[in-house]
Amino acid sequence: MQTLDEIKQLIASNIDLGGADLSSFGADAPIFGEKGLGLDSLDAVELIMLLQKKYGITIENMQQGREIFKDLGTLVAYVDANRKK
Amino acid sequence: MKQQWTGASLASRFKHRFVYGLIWIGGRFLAYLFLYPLVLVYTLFPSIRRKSRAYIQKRFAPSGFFTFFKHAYKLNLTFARTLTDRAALGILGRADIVSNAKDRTLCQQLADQHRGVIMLTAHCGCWQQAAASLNFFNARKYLVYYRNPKDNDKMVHEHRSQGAPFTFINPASDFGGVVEMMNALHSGGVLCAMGDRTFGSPKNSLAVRFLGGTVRLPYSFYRLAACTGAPVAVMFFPWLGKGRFGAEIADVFTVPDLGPSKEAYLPYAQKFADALETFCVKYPYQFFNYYDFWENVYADPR
Repeated sequence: MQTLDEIKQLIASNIDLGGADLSSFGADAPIFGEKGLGLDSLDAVELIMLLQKKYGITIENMQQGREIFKDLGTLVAYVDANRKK
Repeated sequence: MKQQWTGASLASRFKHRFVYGLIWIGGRFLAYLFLYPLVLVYTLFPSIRRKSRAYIQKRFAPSGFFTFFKHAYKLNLTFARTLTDRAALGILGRADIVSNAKDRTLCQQLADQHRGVIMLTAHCGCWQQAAASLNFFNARKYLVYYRNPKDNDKMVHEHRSQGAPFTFINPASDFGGVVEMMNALHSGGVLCAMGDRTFGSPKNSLAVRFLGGTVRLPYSFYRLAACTGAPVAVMFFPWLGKGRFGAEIADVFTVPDLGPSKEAYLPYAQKFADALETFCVKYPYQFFNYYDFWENVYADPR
């Protein structure tokens, strides 16, 4: 739960969500696409850089990216399991 | 605002195959001979002329129909010649790349920094041949490339049934291909991309001045440069005549991390637009963006 809040805060502070309120999104909220947070490809650059800076995490390939960025819950699980910072 | 360009070929698959056949039989010279009437017939079609109208009006401000037609014919003919030369490079394996030692050295210095290089070019000159001939960068090459299913042109390596000399990154794939782009740069690769076309959401573009109007250019490459520290090399590849093309560095710059606000990167997109405008002034019949580049740019899509 702590990591979920931390990631939501990280996204809210660094990515333009077009006024969306992140507190209303749960772990099952999709990160990309129209439903959920609605991030797009350029936001992916920001998110990848944020994960790298804050947690020392790198996304190796698109297949991995697809799994990690499925929703907030999968991202949180990956960060918890792989964070270096 | 919708995406204006399609990436579909102007000519049919059969006509492309016909020109390939001419190259096989009589080389580039025979193919060139057929181009004059072929392009004339094409240019007679209003639908074909319409595709280049915006550029011709901005670049030449033609005073009447015949002046406009002359410019359209010359533009289409140069485009046809570059496509013929690209096919000839693939089929016959012959092309001369003209570049100066200073630019080649600079390319190598950029690659040697091992921070990756973003090589931005545009739909002008012989960019297709250049993509297959980027030997002046001694690093792995990646090409950001969306291929329309109606694109009938063969790429150079496809004529030889060989593997591509670069790794494709599809901007229509998940996350716009940015995971691959970032990894390519982190591994010290050269990321070749078109700086004159937006792809996907129009909100990821910036309005810049170009040839007396306003156009939208992608902003993602400048943000990528800022995030990764990779330098940006703006390069153009003018067609110089039968089987010869140039490789010119128009500008090189680094982009500081100015945060996620896209407006912060406007000066860099403008630098690219300025370099492209200089190219269009020097090579007026070599800008091959066959759609209205200036349409629908005033309303901010956000």
